[in-house]
Amino acid sequence: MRTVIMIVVVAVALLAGNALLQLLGASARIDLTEQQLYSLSAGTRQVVGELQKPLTVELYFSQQASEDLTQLRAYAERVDELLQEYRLASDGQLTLRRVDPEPFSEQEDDATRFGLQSVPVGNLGESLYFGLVVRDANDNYETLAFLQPDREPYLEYELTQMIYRLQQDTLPVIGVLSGLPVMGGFNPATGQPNEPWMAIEQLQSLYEVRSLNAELTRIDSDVDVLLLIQPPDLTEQAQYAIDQFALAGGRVLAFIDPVAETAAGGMMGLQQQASADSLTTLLAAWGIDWQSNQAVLDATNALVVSQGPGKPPMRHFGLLALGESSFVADQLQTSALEAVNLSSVGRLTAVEDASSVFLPWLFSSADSMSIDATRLQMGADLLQLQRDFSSAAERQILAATVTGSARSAFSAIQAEQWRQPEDPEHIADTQQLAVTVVADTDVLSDRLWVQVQNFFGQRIATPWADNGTLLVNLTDQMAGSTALMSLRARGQYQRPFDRVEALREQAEQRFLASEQRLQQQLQATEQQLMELQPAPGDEPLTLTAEQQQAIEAFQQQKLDIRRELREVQHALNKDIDALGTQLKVLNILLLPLLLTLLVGGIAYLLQRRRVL
Amino acid sequence: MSWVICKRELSAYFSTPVAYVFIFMFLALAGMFTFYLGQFYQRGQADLVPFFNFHPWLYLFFMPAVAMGLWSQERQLGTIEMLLTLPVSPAQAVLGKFFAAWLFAGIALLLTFPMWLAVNYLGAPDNGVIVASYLGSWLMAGAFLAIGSCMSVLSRNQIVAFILSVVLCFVFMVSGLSMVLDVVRAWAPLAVVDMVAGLSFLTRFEAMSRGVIDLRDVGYFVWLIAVWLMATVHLLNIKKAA
Repeated sequence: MRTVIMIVVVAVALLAGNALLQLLGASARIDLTEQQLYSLSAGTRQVVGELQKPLTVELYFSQQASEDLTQLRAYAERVDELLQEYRLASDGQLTLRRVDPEPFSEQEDDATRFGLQSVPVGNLGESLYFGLVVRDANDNYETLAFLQPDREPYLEYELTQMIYRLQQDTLPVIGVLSGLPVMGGFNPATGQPNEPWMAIEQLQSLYEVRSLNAELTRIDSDVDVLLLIQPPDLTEQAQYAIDQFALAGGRVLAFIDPVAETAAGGMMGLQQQASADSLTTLLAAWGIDWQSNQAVLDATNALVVSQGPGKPPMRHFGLLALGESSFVADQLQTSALEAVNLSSVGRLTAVEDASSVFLPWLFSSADSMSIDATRLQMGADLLQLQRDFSSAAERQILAATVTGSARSAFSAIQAEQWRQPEDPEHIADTQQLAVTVVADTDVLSDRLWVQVQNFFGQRIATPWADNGTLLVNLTDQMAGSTALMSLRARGQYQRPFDRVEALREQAEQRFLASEQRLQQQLQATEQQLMELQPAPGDEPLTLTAEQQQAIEAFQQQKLDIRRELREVQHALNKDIDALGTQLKVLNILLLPLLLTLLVGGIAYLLQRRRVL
Repeated sequence: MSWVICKRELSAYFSTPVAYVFIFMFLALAGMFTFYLGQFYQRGQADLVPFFNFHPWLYLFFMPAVAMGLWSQERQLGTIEMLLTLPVSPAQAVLGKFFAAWLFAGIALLLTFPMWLAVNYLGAPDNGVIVASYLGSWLMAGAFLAIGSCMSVLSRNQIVAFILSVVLCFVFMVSGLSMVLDVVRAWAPLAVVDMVAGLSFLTRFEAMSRGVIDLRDVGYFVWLIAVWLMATVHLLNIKKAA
């Protein structure tokens, strides 16, 4: 009985102490994560600290429906704490409200009105709401329809972005001209509408994104940034319109690609339809030399790709994963980016004697070369690419910005044909050119950087590289809003086993060497066999015993070489597996045994010293 | 005085082979769980998530095993009377013994450092997260031991003390899960249900394993240790009086 009483007393003491501790709030904590994932970043502090008008943040969370969901309730508490941090940083401009949208209540109607997502839970299928609404006094609002716990590292960015958007009176306009289905549209193959690319969807959440027609005669005067993504064949008039837009000080961001294979999603026709060739004249006038038939291979930055079931993964020299060493230091658009993936990327060079200033900012490694771009089209032979690789020992320029002075690509006489009566005067030259060119379009396609899931009709993006961030950063920089840049790249990305990747690289090189040697041997043996055997038209000869023996020997040799080839293929991952086994044996048996003995030894010595 | 007892107890641990078997088994099992059940190598991710995920479950059996002899052995051998006649208060004795056990658990935990070396050898992990996880793990071990210490006073049979501790620790571990909360929900309001859910070792440890050291999580473990040790002292006083 006494024990039971004691346990009850202990339980009450624990609960009371715990309740007291909760009252302490979230201020006393240390964030030990490398990127300070759970603390407010400088970018957020800046945005929230500079709020011009009061905002209300409402956290909708269904108390009753979440009873069984302990983890979710704990997350809701953490969200609430994060919001408190926002409130403290906002200097009184942010008000917080916690709303419980009970079934059939007014609050539930509000939740529905704001477009919050309800998720059925429990056996009775109760509706659970867990969303955020940021509102201003004029009832403009931004929402996060449902807060998924696994997206906690992105919550701060998403929330700050919502607050930032609500502060903008008018959004900057991004005009997009592309021959690729970047804005989504109808897919004839599936009969279903396609979603826009995630990179563009992210832009849409920050800017007014306007799709432009390829037959345009002029660029709308309210367009802040012109985004060209592998534009379709442009009429001369359209080219002239772009030329004049750039010369008038308009910002141009161009993504062009020798082979837009991932971007086109393998749809034939799209590649032909969209090529960057019609930009060549303009690029040359701006000071950029662009070879649309050249693509870059990079042995150091190659991504490992799966080759399908039963085959070992291989490095694809045309698929590049670029890290910090590939960016120019101290550039705002690439600071804090960890990884950008590109596919079949082209190369840029500066036009000699150009009057503009050419500033490259994205490079391949020195262990790279350029090849004929057609070799990187769908179904490229990865092994052959590796075999034919010979390093040019020089870094290739993959992206650059040109600024300063430039002349129009068109003469005043040409201009007369296209100029509309309401158009301003022809601009022959400028001092304020600002054009950024990236020699790849696949970089923007979902499959190179983001996993998109459908969550009750809402698209949830989980990035595994910074490609989307790069686009938004570039656009931000050009549209003149840079506050969000510092916190955009605070995602949690993959932390791969670098050593295993290095082993894979070595194994591939060894495999290539042996494979080449064995293939040569095989060819030689087959040649010798052919020479010994009678040609099909010849009269069958009786072979001498020596000849017969030689044929058998060669056939045996051929079988041996083939077997050896298979073994080499099998051995590809041997070192990786061996390292895994070594670590297992070390950590499960050897080191526990050694460490236990060591502790025993130390204890023995200490005790002996005490006895002596 | 507590420190003298702590030192004596700690050296007593290492004077029997049981400690070495314990350390070896703990290290080997932690490695096995990490590599086989947690698929550490196949995941290819430079973090120690699969390693720390199994700590609560390892502790569920290992810590009661360390704590079971703390008092029941003394009672069984009749040495408790002698101990309590020494110029040592029960509180000092309880603290001394507990810290010895906690340090012993800490040494066992520190000896898992090859896993840390391995993950740093393989890639570039977030070491801040690992430090926070280690701290969380050690605090959690302390909570298990404090419960074990109290259960050890209750019975002179070590096995009974062990079983009692495992059961109680299990309740604390899973108190965030619906199987426990359902029982509470039947009679208590939602606020109490949340409070009980907040008592779960798993929830607290997971919060720390994210890489954030929150005063409330640390405070929870410290408070839990303090409460169970106070209960131990109280029980000891009752036994002494009897």
